[in-house]
Amino acid sequence: MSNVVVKIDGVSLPYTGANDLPVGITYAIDDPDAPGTVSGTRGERNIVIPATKEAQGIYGEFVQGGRWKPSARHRKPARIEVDGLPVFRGTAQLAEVNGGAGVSGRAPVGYKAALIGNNGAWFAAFQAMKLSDVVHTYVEGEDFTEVWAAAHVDADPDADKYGLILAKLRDFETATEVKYSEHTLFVFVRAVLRDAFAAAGYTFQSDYFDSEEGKRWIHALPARPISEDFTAGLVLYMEDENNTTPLSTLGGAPTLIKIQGTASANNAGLFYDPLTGFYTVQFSGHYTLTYGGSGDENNAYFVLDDALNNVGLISWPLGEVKQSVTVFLTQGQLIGLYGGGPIGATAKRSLFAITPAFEFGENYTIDLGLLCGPDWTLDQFYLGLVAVFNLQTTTDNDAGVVRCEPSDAYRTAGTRVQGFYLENDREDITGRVDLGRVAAYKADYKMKQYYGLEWATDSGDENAEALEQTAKIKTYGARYDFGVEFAEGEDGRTVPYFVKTVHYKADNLRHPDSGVTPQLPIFQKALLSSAVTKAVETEPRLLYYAGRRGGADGYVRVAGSVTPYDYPAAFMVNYNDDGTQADPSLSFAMETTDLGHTVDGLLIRFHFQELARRQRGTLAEEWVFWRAHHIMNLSFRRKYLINGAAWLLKRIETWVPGASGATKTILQRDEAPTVDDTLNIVNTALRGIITNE
Amino acid sequence: MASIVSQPATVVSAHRPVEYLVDSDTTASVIEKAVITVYDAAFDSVIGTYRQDWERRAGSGPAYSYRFRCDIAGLVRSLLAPFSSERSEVFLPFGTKTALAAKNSLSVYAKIRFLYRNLQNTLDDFGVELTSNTTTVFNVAQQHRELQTLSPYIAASGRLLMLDAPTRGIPVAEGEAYSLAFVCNTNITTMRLRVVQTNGVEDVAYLDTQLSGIVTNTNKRVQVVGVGPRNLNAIPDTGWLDNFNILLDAGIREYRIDFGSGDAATYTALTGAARFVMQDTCEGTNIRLHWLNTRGGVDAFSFDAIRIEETEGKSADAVRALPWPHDREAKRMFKTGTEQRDGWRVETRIISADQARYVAGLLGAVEVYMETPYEQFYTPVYIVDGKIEIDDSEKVGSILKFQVLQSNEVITHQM
Repeated sequence: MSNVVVKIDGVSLPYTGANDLPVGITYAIDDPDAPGTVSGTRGERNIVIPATKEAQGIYGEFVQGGRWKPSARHRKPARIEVDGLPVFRGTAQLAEVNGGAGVSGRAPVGYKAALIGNNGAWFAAFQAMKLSDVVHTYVEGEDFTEVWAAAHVDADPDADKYGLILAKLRDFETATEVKYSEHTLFVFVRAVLRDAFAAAGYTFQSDYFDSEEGKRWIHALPARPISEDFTAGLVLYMEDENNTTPLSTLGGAPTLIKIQGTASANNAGLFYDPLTGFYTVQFSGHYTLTYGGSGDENNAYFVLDDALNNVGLISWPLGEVKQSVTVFLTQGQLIGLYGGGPIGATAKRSLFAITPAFEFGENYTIDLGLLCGPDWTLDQFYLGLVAVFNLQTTTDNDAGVVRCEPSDAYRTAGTRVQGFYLENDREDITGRVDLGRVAAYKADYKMKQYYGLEWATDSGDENAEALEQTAKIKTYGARYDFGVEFAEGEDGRTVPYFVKTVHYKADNLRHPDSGVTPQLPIFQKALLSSAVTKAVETEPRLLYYAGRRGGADGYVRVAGSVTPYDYPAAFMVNYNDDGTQADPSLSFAMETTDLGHTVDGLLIRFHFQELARRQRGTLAEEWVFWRAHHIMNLSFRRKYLINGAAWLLKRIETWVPGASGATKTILQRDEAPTVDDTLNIVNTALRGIITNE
Repeated sequence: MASIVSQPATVVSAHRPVEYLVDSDTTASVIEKAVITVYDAAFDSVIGTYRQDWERRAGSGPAYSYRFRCDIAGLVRSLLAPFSSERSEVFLPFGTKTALAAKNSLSVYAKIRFLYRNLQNTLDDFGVELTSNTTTVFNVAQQHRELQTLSPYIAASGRLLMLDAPTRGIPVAEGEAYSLAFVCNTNITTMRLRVVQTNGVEDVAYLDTQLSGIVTNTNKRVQVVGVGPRNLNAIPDTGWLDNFNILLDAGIREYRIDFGSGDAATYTALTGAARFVMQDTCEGTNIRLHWLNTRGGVDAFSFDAIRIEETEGKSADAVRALPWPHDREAKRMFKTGTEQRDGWRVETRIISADQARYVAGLLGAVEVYMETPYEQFYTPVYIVDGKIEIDDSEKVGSILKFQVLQSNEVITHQM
């Protein structure tokens, strides 16, 4: 009989049940049938805790509607120990309270708490978090000026969280040169991961994302029409029916009209102060100013700043007027409505409105959060990365550490690096298999012959579509041929969240001293050949940040200078690589650069072993004795040996703390691809580059 | 240097691990798997391939050597007798003096290659191949308390044990057959028959078994010789050395069989002796069963105390509509799915614990045949699961009771 202790929020609690804890805990890494998903330890059911005083201390009475304990519903650290060994480290969340008869009403008799373990807690948090929540604090209060941009075109992945790259977002002001403010903002993926996990209460660890390659993945944030959710907060609409402010005589210094909003007012952000009569600009950018009044008094209205500088129109309206103009305002600027009129005139009926007309560009105040799509949630962002790099994730709730790595060993910069599944950590469990139970060793026969991995195309991306036409395997796509013994057809995975970016050779921008023609990613959706003056919304783009490399990616002409400019380069595939850069590629396929260099694709680098495992896939449902100390030291990164063959641990199903029997354990045979298997990879025939601008 | 650290002995049982322990070279290459290809040594043909993962590595890096372990017992066992589809060769056909039980053993060797991760991170051949010694695996099961070596059965010298369950005297009657198996690994040419007559006089005769002419004397194959009175009495005098034969009949009290080399004058025994005790019997009133014992040989016993022949049938009911106009002979209820099975309930006489233990081997035997006097075929039967008392300290001996069913059911008509 084991001594099982349940601790929630550090308090040791009794539980309702017979001998064993009435909770089966499933320890899982991912679903072998559905690679690319994130799962983890989870309690299979709720635990019922008697309403002792200790429990009430945590959850309160709850059934007493008037008893207010806001923290009762919060997730709390939970821990289950068997004979002192921690076997479950996660969180518990109150699900239900059973009410019995109390002296003067209901009294709690039992608390039902759901146990959430391993990856569950942070993934649930990610579902409720947006990318903008994380990145909006990266730059605060700074304007995107030419000077600012010039100072940020050389981002360091170790020191910076964001930076600028050169990409084609819309037509350059001058077709043959670039301005610094025509660069595109981005955030480093690693920085986002670190901050996102920190926001969820975890420390993010990854050898891969700390590697020279891994730290250079970026999430581009191209300029886009800024969401109305944000601009609505800056809107001003003030109107008085009969403002009595006496106006100065026309031709003299105009009088500030303080509008009280007696007829109607929309001062959402309270940025207009009726006492001072000024609207304080919060965010540098374009605004549409509207003013007007009744013309019967022959009054004149002006939109001026506090120094009486004209920032909009000055007009002498005739009759009832309402005029609008779009101008650029700088944050901190104080804007007011001024007026003048005949002797003895008052402002009478007055109207003053300011509406943001934002399209991010030069001199705008930078808020990276505003460059994120409103539906860019962190769970999808993470699943996108999982799909690209075939990541596996495990969480140590006790230490508050999340570790994620590509599943299997991969090569980077000519070196082979351990993946999530450690090749040197092995444990022989042959003697712990309960041969008395019937095991099932399953052949995976449900797959289709082909398994495709590909990137989605952004809706309306005419440049990408023009390259793809009717090709079966789209740009950057590849598929794996499992063999004719599987059913005809294809299934596979399209990267969620991120979409593909194609490139072009920017011959127009090329500096005469440039050895190569610069290759730029294309974010504009309209064809390159068409004129594009406005940025449009795009789906998230993942790129490799090469940065400024002394001309290895070519030089462009920069406005106001004759010096060749080695712009910050970024790409999915570097078609300018002759092999000396050895840049990684985001294409699933093997790509050949313009200089004949072959670049390994994501499939062969990160997915190959997974596919080999599925192809020869034996999935075992074994019965294994897991004792508390095994569970305490459980590692999904370890390979488990049974009779000299290595298996990956996928799931321990419903392990009951303190129980003595064997537990059903799902294992996947650890296969590896052979030289011959490379013949099973079918690469796309397309290349993600437009050579004629 | 890559090496086979340990490998199975020259002769081993298939019912224990047949295991190779292999070390790769010490190398900076990442060796991941060993491919162990198992060959049938007789034909140099591949019979199975394993891809094993290393279980530990040694070295301080970046160069390591990797250790692999591979047990091929399951593969070999699947290729050795018995098979559900055929009678094992150790059940000697009536009228045959000797036979070779080729499927009782298999000589194998393994070639081991290593797979490492090449520059493309795929598994590639490391270019080193190791070849193991040849091991002969027998379907001889030894129990947990016994020595695991097979040398008592297969030693190149000394007296070899027979592949039967040892008893102090195997009861046998005139007209009954007995298949005696042993591993032929020495130059055995002659069988010696020593008898003790009912009057106490001893006599001896020699049979040229011609084993050396049938098999190479070192090929470690299982040889079967018919040594029951039914087998030996059928051999004409001319089949015996010096044309001298001893008829095993009511005048013989017991006899012993061993095998060796030489003739009457020079005979040297190379095996242990099997002792048979002649029984009085009334032919046709008993049930004589031969079964595959745990050594891969054959044991036999006649159940001559009680033999109750049984037949049991089962069927399902079916009802059909009566014809109109009514036919008085028309059937309304009839049988479907009729099955009938013949069998016997048998009991031994009071027998010693030693004999009871010998007979109890029937319970675990997967292959059992019934011998019918004068018939030249075996009747396949199976023993119904059950429990028997081998020894009882309060009694002078044991009476064993079994239920025996014919493997083949009675062929019945079906409606």
